[in-house]
Amino acid sequence: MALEQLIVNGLIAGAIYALMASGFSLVYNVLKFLHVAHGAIYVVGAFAGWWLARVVGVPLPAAIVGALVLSIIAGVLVDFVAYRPIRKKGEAALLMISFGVFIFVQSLVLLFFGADVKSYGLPIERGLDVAGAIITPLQISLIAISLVTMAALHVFLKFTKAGKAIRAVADDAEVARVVGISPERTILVTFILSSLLAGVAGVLVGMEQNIEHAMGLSAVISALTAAVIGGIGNVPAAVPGGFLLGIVENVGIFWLPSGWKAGISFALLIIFLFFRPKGLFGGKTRTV
Amino acid sequence: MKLAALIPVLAIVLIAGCIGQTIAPAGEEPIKIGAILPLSGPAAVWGESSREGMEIAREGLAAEGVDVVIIYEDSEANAAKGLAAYNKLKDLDNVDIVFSEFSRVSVPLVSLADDDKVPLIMSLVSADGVTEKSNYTFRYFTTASQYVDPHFEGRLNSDNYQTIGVIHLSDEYGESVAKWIRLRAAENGIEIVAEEKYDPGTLDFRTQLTKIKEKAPDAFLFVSATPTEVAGILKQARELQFASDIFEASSVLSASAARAAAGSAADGVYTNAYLFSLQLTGGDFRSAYIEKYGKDPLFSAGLAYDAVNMIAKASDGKKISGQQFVENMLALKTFDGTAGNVTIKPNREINPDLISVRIVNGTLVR
Repeated sequence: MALEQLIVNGLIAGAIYALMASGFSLVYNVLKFLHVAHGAIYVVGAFAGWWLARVVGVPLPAAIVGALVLSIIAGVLVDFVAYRPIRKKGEAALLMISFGVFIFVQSLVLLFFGADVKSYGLPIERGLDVAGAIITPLQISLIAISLVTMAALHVFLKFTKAGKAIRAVADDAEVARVVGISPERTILVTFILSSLLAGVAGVLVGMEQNIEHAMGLSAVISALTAAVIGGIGNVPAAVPGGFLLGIVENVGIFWLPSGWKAGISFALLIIFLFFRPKGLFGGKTRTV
Repeated sequence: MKLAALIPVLAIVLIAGCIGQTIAPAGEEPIKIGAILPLSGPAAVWGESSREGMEIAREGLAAEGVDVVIIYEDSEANAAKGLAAYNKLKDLDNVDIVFSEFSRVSVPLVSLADDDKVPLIMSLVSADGVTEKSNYTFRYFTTASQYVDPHFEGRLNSDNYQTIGVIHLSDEYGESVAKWIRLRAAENGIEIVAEEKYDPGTLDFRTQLTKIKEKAPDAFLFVSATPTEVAGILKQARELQFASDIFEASSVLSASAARAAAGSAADGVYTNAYLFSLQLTGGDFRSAYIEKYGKDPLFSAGLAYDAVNMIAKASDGKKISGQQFVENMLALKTFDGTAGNVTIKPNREINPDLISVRIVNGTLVR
């Protein structure tokens, strides 16, 4: 029974990792830098949903929609204000400013909302026994929403004009421009999508656990790890990467002391970086 | 030429001024306190409330004509940042006393403070033996054993509890409390069937809880440091349908903010509470805090408030040497504060009383 429970626990965690890793990989795919501020957008999503639902008093479905809109606005603002002016200075500069934005947004959240832990106040649910493991209806919804969101993302990227534009700009922005695709507009769409994914993850975690201003760091580290495992820059591969990370982390400590949980995920990251840097399914790397 | 002639004169005046500054008699300047608090990060709820309590104390003393200077530094509940903060306070701000919170931040400072002969007053520090390592260190907080004894002397002292499962923080504080749990369990013939750890900042406890639940202990004890951790542990334990009675071997749940975060998951849990949390003491401070900040104070605010007042009393609000401060503090012998009347022991321990309580409908019940 414990092993089944650990697998379920891994799926719950993996669903969030997959969402975060997808958004992270999406930005890396197009702009070739680690969008650390993705963790800040996740925090904005979590707090925005809580604020709308618990402080403003908006019905929960509307609060969730509002949170996603605010996440998108935050992500687009980060691109316009922080990234766009220095895009030509290269990936190192973008990475540095991304760290700065992450810390700035986290501090803003602390300033406005304080350090108290926040809760959506949802009632504690009685878990359902599924194949020997306990899982609550909210956790089932979390996994389902995560999978549906990523399926929708996949359809968007593969079959829509904007999705094809993203793939074209990711391959070569200048060639894309020559054939009439606007890289700037495509980057905007990329940040909208990435921020939407972070917002969904933030809202889901906020509803399933609690939220506090420092929650973004562990989320972005997990996103990076899952993206590397799947193949950094390979957006669909972030899904199996995320679920694999979640399951290995949780099942790993069935045999190891639970204090090793963080160590397991970092060990997995190091193993992939050393032995399979392109990840499970290959990723985008720069050719020099 | 005339300007060049002025330079040695200016130099002499400057040097004389500096010498004059350094040999100014002690007692003329206000005492300067350096406060190393977790003002950001997961533990910021404690640091924020402590700062608020210290500010009320400072303003109260100022109204009585006693000037106390407090310089705040953010440790983020991180040892390295705490060290950097300490060095800055000592070297740049020349503070007379350091007030520090959290075991993982404060324990590394003990030897430094001892070397520098700077009095170090610690709160929210339960790690074992902290005052043994320096004659300049005071602890104004509960010891690790105080978190555990009320449960083992009370509810757990029963044939109903043959086995327990434990989950605790993997830092100095968590390890210290866990050590006392093991000791008391062995003394009472109770078997620890599962012991799991978690790192600070953890939000997902399901895996550790799953391993404990698998062993089906009669009771489940947890040691946590922040309302986030408490709420996460309790909610996830309830979702996993823990059948065991749940005990908190710390005092976080005595804070209303923690019980609010945990919601109905906290009902029926046994915890420890200070007299202040039970509203048996510290009424004046509570009223002043509510008036200024519009919310109920956490116990950490009261303890920090008391610390400033203790420092002011021991120093008479004036700059004195570290050695003199220590002697004056020990000479006080007792202090009447928000935690009630506490004893300042010769080993520099000042331990407020803790009472075992149960949470019923969000309220602490003795």
